[in-house]
Amino acid sequence: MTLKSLLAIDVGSVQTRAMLFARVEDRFRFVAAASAPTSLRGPDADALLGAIRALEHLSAISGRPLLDPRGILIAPELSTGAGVDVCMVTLSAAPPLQVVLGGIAPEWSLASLHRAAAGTYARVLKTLSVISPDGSRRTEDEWLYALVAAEPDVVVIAGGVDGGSTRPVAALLEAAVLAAQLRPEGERPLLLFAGNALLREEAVAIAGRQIPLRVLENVCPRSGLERIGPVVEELDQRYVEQAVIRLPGLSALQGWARGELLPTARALSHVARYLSLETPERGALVVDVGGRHTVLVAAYGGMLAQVVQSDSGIGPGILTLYQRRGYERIARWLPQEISPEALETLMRTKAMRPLSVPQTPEEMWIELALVREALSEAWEHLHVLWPELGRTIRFFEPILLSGGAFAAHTRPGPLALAALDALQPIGLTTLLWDPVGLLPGLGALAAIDPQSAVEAITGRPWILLATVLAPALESPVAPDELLFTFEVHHRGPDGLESVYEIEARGGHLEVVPIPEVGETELRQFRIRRPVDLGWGPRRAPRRIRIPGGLLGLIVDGRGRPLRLAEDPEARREQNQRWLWDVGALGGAL
Amino acid sequence: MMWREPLRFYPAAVKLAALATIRRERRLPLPGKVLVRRGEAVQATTVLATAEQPTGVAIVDLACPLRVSSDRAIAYLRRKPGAPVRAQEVLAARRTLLGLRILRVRSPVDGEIVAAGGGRVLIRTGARTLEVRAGFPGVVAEVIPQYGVVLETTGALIQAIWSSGTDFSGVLRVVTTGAEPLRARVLDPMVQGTVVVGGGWIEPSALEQAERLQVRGMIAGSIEASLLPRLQELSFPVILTEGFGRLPMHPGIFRIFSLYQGREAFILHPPASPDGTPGRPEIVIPVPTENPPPPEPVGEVVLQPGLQVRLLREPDRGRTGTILRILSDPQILESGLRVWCAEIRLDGEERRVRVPVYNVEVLRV
Repeated sequence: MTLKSLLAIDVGSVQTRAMLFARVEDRFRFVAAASAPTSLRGPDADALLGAIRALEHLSAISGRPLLDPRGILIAPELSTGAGVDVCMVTLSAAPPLQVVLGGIAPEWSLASLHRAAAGTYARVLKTLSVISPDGSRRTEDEWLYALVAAEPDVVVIAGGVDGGSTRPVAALLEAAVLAAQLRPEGERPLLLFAGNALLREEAVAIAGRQIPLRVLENVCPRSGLERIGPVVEELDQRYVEQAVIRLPGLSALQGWARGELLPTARALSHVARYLSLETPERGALVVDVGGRHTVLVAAYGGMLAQVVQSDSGIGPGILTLYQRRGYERIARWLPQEISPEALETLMRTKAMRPLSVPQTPEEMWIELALVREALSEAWEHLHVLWPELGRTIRFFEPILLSGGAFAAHTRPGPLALAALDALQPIGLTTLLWDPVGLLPGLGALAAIDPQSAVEAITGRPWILLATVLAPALESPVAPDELLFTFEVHHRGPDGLESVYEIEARGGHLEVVPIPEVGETELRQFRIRRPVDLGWGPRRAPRRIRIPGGLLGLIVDGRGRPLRLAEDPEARREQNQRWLWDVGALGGAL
Repeated sequence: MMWREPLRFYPAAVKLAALATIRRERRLPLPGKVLVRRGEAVQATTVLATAEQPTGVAIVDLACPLRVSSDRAIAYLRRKPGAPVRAQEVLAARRTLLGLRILRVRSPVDGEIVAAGGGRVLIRTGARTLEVRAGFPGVVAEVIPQYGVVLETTGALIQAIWSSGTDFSGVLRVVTTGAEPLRARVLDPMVQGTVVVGGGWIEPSALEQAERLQVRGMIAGSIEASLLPRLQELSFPVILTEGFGRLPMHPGIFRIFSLYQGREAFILHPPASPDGTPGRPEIVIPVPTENPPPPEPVGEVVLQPGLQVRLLREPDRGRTGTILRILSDPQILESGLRVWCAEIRLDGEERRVRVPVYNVEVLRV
């Protein structure tokens, strides 16, 4: 059956967002979205209520009745056009899973488990290692005490390649099972075994009937081979199961979705995978800064590297993010002076009232400074877990910005600047912007109907924010020093061609408006300083076609890594100049 | 143009009732035993329900002292999981040297054997009793089997925003005449053992003086965030009704405290929400009445003209006003955001401001 309409509901930590997709003129596309507060605070907490309020808005905006008089979703779609065929729910509002990881050594299977856990809504409470980082062996009593104290939701044990030694991993399993028995039935952690295949039967015997166990494919079946997918899927599933138990109203929403409840981060990874298919040689980067989590997904060469940074965002997670990163790191991105006192007051106000939004430009700069730090922190985490990305990560194409932090803005310049400051891409790339917060819905759609998802994504439901040309500098350059020049050739739909020359100068951002219609090429590169535009030192193609976009082309001559002035006053002027460059202080963009 | 049903918005709400019938659930985090009956009158200190929570664990290695492998050790265990053991009681024993010698493993503690495996035994060594107390005087309106009760009283209810401590109570002593800051000089020896109330923000000097005078607690509008570390060192808790910075207490809240000067106030800390967010601290001031007053307002509030609201963000953070209308289209703010807004007339002046619908908190008086 061809899908006529789909409703995606994303239950976030601050807002619940409802997105309507429908077949219009034989193509599946985004129709409308609306949101309401996620009603999980206070004595009347009910996730369903937030969804109903969002659907009331969506019905009003789209003109399509979605709820019956009893407040129940109309499904499937009626001949009158009311309701939807399918509902999908994505979720990030539940507290993260509390997880303990166990393995033989930190650099082997445990590293794989850390990568698996990082891509899910999980907080790693403890890591149990047969061999500790200093080379000493841990005792089973130490593991037991650690497991008893941690009281995890899930214990994941891996270790040993298939056919390798079994004894140390069996001891870890025994410790996990023993500790689990201390807790009452129904509260015992789920035990995931993803180690040496030789141990599977023994794992089942050790767990017995008292401890819930799932045996998975070995995360490291042989040296150099990693398979974290099954562990990620199990952690996702457990997150959803726990959320349904803990969050009132979620089971009713799950009923609307006929059980299809997906962690939001997983939905985002589906979108990243799709985008990476278009640029397989460079890969795609999807970033999502929400209220309590920051998600970074890098999809490249068929691989997926993902980090879900909990307690990081611009809602309830803002205070802990601020406390981790500190005043200096936040203040360095601001064009104005602010005292630590005033900044902490704002952080606490926002954490206590996460639905509230900045009204003044000054508070917006602060919020975007937090966005930079949330992205930088997630980036650092990604880099630690996937060191091989360190060589290539800044070359992603495209980079897609999503999440509450990027929603509802009318001035895209500061958003682009925040992304450039935090991610510091090198070479030529495009910044895409999801101002409506559609990505979880698109990812959910991809999970159940890939063909419809492709149709919806092909319709470009996001905005091309800017094309970015950012050279890496081999040595520091003086401010205003000429780096390279090039020509922008634009041919309009009427055939008229315009040409203008652009100079890229050190320390500056140059924004070149590019019309949406017509064709634009960059030509005649003349390299004046030892720079790398992404094609190797001092090299450039003869011509490159670039698309138009909201901001056009941003030439970022500030160098990589970005160097901020050390003097606070000079740094504030630097930030003011860059905001001016992207039109944020001039009011034009 | 297409007709569109007006959108409805549901911002957060805060309750300030001078007199209402108040019901609060008081429950254990895990199943236990309820000690009171429906209709029973209780004091704030009455224990309503108790539960046993395991505390310690002892891990006893059997394999090594019995000189057998981990797999075989459990076969020598004399007591099974679930059985109680006493300190020095033999847990496991094995005969060696043709039965001439017996290797024994004794329990190091009193407790209960919980599990055995991997050559080890886990003994739960003790339990602590969890109690849930009434927190305020009232009548048991409902019993929640195994968990607790719903308690009812009549009086004033004020929802605050932040607290540095746990549940406590004390006699209210209002020390300012209005929204002036709470300073050391307004605290005289009469405040000893009372809950001091100030209508403005707290100055550092007031904290030092209150510590010297041994107050029971302090309630004010706000405090500078830089003083937070100092609050953790104080012997008394601090409750804020507005937030951080220099915000005066809402006049309506201050009036309630003034009205009930000299009465005992009970400060409660509701459990965290399912998403982990801490509950807002509440101040209950019991007032006996002949006829029960109306129940406190419950449920969501739809933002609409006439409602009293508190503004949450700059440039008018902490100000209060009245909703005049909800604007029919999203508005572009100075910050660049495009959001739904309400038009509000600020209290004490004719100025009207446009504020995002979720940058307000409804005051449910």
